[in-house]
This record gives sequence, C-alpha cells and structure tokens, in this order.
Amino acid sequence: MLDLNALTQAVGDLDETAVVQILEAFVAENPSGEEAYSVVNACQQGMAIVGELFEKNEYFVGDLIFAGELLNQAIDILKPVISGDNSKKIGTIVLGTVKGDLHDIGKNIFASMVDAAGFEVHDLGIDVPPGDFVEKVREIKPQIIGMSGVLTLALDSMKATVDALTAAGLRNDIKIIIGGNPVTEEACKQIGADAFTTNAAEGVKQCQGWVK
Amino acid sequence: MTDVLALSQERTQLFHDLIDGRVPKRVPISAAFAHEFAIQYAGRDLTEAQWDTDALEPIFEKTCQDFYSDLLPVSAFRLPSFYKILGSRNFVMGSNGFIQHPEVEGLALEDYDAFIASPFDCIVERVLPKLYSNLDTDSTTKSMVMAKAFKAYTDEMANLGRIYGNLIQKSGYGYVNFYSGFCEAPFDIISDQLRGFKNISIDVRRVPDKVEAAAEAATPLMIKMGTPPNPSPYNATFIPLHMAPYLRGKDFERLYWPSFKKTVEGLKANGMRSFLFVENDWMRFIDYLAELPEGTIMCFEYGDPKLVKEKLGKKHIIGGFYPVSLLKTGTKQQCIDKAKELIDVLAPGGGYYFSFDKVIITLDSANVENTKAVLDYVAENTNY
Amino acid sequence: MNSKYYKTWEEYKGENPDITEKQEEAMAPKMQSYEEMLFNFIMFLCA
Ligand code: B12
Repeated sequence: MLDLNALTQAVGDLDETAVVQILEAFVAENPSGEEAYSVVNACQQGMAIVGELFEKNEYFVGDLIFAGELLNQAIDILKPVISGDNSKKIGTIVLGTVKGDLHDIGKNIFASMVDAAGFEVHDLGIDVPPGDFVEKVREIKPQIIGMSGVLTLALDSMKATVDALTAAGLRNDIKIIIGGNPVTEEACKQIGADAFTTNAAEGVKQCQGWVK
Repeated sequence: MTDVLALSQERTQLFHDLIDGRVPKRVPISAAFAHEFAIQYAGRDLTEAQWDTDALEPIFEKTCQDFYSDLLPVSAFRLPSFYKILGSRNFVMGSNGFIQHPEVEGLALEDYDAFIASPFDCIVERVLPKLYSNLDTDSTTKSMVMAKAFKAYTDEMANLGRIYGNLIQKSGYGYVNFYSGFCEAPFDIISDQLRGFKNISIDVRRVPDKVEAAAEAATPLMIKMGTPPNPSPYNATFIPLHMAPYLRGKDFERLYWPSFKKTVEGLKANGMRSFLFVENDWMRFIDYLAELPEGTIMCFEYGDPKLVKEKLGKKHIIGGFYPVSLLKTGTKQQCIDKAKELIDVLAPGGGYYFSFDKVIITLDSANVENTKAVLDYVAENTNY
Repeated sequence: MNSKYYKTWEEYKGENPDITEKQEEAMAPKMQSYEEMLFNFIMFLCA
C-alpha cells in the first residue's frame, strides 16, 4: 500500500508529476476497492490543504483551477480500480451553475470531489434555467441538488430555482446546497436552501451527512 | 470666448497639469460609465439601443448632463453589430442585452508553436475561425463575412467618434483622451480570448516555456496595436490588466511581467503613455509597477491607497480605489466621507485624479443619487 | 512583422516597383491606413 500522507502532501503541493507517479504505481498493483477509496480520500485531504493555502493567500485562483484539473486526472487514473462492486453509489446529486452565470470552475471542482466521494453526479452545466433543474429532478429523483454561482445575480437565480422546485411540489423530497463565492448564511436563508458553502470539501462533508 | 470653450480649456489644463507633473488647480475628475449604463439611465431598451449607434448621442448626453466629470464620461467598447455578423462565440449578447464574455478557447494547445512562429498569421488562420463561427467556412464566404463585419465596425467607430466629439464640444470637456489606443498585456491576450482562463492556469504549470515564448511573441503585436496613428503626450493607451492577481509570484515574475513591461516601454518609445486599469488587487506586485516608465497612469480597483501613494505617487499618476459597491449600499454621507478619506491620502502633492474603482456598467450597480453627490463633492471641495 | 496578412509600405512597394515618387506621396498614407485599420480590427476581435 502506498504512503497516503505522501500522496496528500503531493496533491497539496500541486505536484502533478509526483501525484501521477504515485497513483499509477498504486493502480498497477491491482488494489482492492477499499484501498482505492482510502486513496481517493487522501487526494481529497490534499484538496483541503489547497483550500487552506488559498485562504492564507499562498495559493491563488489559478492554483485552484489547476488543483481541480489535477483531481480530475487523479480520479481518471483511479477509475479502473474504484469502479466495480465497491463503486455502489452512496447518493445522487443534480448539479449546475444557475441561470445567467457562466462560471463553472468552482462547480467543476465540487463535482469531481463529490464524484470521488461516491456520489452519482448529474452535471447540467452552466446557465441552467430553473425549469431544467425541475425536469432533471423529476426524471432521476436525486437526494441532493447543488447550485453554483459567482455573479451577484446568481443569488436571484438560485432563489428562482428553489421557488420553481417548490411550485413543482418537489422541494420537500430533496436537500439543496449552494456554493460559490457570493453565498452567505443570509443569502442561503433568503434563497431557501438547506446549506451553503464557499469550500468544496465542506460541501462534500455536508452531502455525506445527508445520505448517511 | 464662450463659456463652454473656457470650461473646456480649464478642464484640459487640469489634466495637462496632472500629466506634466504640476499640481493642478483642483483634483481632476474622470468619471466612467459604460454605454449600457447610459442607455438604461436614459430609460432606453438595451437590446434595441445598441444597434442604432447613430441615435446614441442624446442618450449619452443625458449621463453627461447629470454626472460631473472633467473628461467625457461615457464610452462604448463592444457593440453587437459586428459581433453578430461574425457569429461571435467570445462576445455574446445575453437575453437582457448585455454583451458577455463566456469562456472560450481560440488557440488550441497544439497551436502554441504556430503562434510563437508567427502570431498574426496564427490569429488570422486558426484563432479567428474558432472564435467566430461565421469565419469557420470556405475562404470566399469568409472574405465576405469579414467585409461586412469590417464595414460595420468602422461605421460604429465613426459614429462613436463623431458623438464623442460633439459631446466634448457641447459639454466643455477637456481635450485629453485616456482611450486613444487600446491593447492588452501580452500574457492577458493569450489568456483571455486565446487559451481561456481555465486552460492558461493549467498551461502555466504544464507548458510554462510555451506560455513564456507566446507572451514574448505577442509583445510586438501589442505595441503595434496600442500605438494610435497620431501619438500625443496628453493621450494614453488603455490597457486593462487581468490575470496577474490570479498567478503565483514566481509565475508572474517569469510569465507576466517581462513582456508587459516591454509593452509599456515600447508604447512609451512610440510616444504613448499607458493608462492601466489595475484590476483586482496588485499589492503583491507593487514594486514591479514602480518600475514602469514615469507618468504611467494607473487606475486601481482594490488594494492599499496609502501604500500606492507612498511607492508610486511621485513617479506615476494614480486614480481609482473609490468602491462602486459603496455607491450602491452606502448612505450619501458615507459615500462622501469615503471620497474625502481617499482624497486626503492620494491628493497631496498632485499626481492624482478622482475616479471610481471600475467603470459603472449598469444602472443597478450604483445608487444614482450617491454617485452624483460624490462627483459634485469632489468638483466643489478639492482645490489645492 | 513577418506575416502573410500584413504588409508594410516598403513591402508593398517592393512588389509594385512601377510606383513613381509622386504617386507614392499620395498613395502611401492612404494605402497604409487601411492596412493598419484591418490589423487593428483583427487584433480587437481577439482582445
Ligand atoms: C475565472 C473567472 C472568469 C472566467 C470564467 C471561466 C469559467 N469557466 O468559469 C471568465 C474569464 C470566462 C469570466 C467571465 C466573466 N466574469 Co468572471 N471571474 C472569474 C474569477 C477570476 C474567478 C472565479 C473562480 O473561478 N473562482 C475560483 C473558484 C474555485 O471559486 P468558487 O467559484 O467560489 O468555488 C469554490 C467554492 O465556492 C465551492 N463551490 C463552487 N460552486 C459550488 C457548488 C456547490 C454545490 C458547492 C457545494 C460548492 C461550490 O467550491 C469551489 C472550491 O472550493 C472571478 C474573480 C475572483 N477573484 O473571484 C471573476 C468574477 C466572478 N467575474 C465577474 C464578471 C463580472 C464576469 C463577466 C460577467 C464579465 C463580462 N463582462 O463578460 C463574465 C461572465 C459572464 C457570465 N454571465 O457569467 C465578476 C462578478 C461580479 C459580480 N459580483 O457579479 C468577478 C467577481 C470579477 C470582478 N471582480 O468583477 N470570469
């Protein structure tokens, strides 16, 4: 088994060469699904380090974007060993950047992290109108909806989406989490979401809590 | 001499003093509103008014009449006609009429080498067809699309030029133009429309040598682009800075700064001063800014005004810092107090003009009464 | 600039050696101004 701490550190350092090397060696050993999950977990902890360094102004937005890419790549390498029986999904999420907003970097980071945590993710993309969320919820009946947005106007779109879900009679069957730089506790209340975060790792924890 | 002409001369003098390093009679004011704001403020529909550029004069005039400024406060950059003709993917009109910039990839990763070898050929041959769907076709159709778009563009620019001239004359603005040329930092042009925000952030880590070479190759193009036909010491070339605050220090130092500095110096050698919109927070890089040629104009968005005054105040011309967000949320008194606070720090000794921290784009981005009150306050209370 | 799509006046003259000096005076600024305008338009499209 590989050195999980070293992996976490390499992800935190955004050391792509080291991460790829460690993971490829790991996959070559034909590990069990359980081992693979602890490796995914180590990667996620690495992402938490990235988040902390970002808060401390040691990393910048460009580094966050690269971190998202690195995580995607890590998951791609690990896919062959995490799919199979052990990949039984622990929950389903419908995710999207809300209407009027075209930013998706944060949403994509959250998507790959929550995917790695064992959720089935249906990503509706960017500029998603409330009606599309409603339709998708009807179709696949997820436990959770994730809405992302970084424009101030995204907060209005989030509210419109929650209202549309309520009007469609679907609101009570799901949990709603919102993310993106402008979301706050106050905005969360106004929008009528169940949780908010500006940190993808926290968002993953929240989602895991809901499906336990 | 008419009153308006005298006013215009007085205002021109304020900015000439500023630029020549003399202390002006009072703090010069350059307010900046986007055409979208002016259209909304005049109660017109954005989806319509942007098409009829002939009719923009009275629309712009309303903003000119109601908001104090020493230089023409309204300008339009991006208009829908030519973007639509070209089938633009990088500037797209939303349903509300705003032209927005979605993430695009104009330059593929494999095309770095072509760009480095001949940036302009690469732009014409590979980048434009990726950014503009109507240029992604056979060469005859392409040339006809291009002819229409170029005609539309020159018509729009001629209309705007005429309107600007009329408004400057009518309202007695100063004859100083901070937008007489336009270009970008070489790294920014590669980031914004060519590689895209996401790709460039990854390229910086994976192919830094290519990024560096591409920025270098783009530099002469940027200098050429930013040099207007008739350079003047009292006009400037507008360079909106974008990516630096999102980069690590060592990437900035290697990939952003050298080509940008060369650009500003090259413009200077061609007789043009640069007017930088220093987007976001550049305090990490303030010592670099200090290296730029004397008299470079810098409008700051965020950061520490005291530090800027101390490090750059003697050599460069400073503006900005006044938060448009406060105009939206503050009381009138808070807004005026903020202006006072900034002026106390930045005005002493000259080298400062008053401007907001960014262009006011929409009617709802600021409270109109607060905005007027602040501009009037500065115009009436800042004699040296 | 070393581009297929942009010609300086000198390059243009090289290809058209029959231009007289008198002609050149009137012609050069006009011809070149269109060259510059198109260059600027194209750059504006990707800035
Ligand atoms: C990158 C960027 C762009 C890129 C977008 C690329 C892309 N594919 O997303 C480009 C250059 C294309 C762009 C375009 C525009 N942008 Co922009 N952009 C930014 C920038 C620099 C970074 C945003 C970002 O990605 N942050 C990093 C991510 C990782 O952070 P995050 O989104 O908060 O995500 C984290 C958490 O919040 C969380 N999270 C996010 N979503 C979710 C969802 C869930 C469910 C959960 C649980 C968690 C979660 O996880 C992430 C990791 O922890 C910001 C400025 C800044 N410094 O923030 C401006 C900024 C957001 N842009 C802005 C603007 C105005 C625009 C434009 C409108 C400009 C224009 N005139 O065209 C256009 C967008 C058009 C539109 N309608 O959307 C403004 C917004 C102003 C406002 N208050 O509304 C900003 C703030 C810049 C500024 N200072 O003015 N932009």
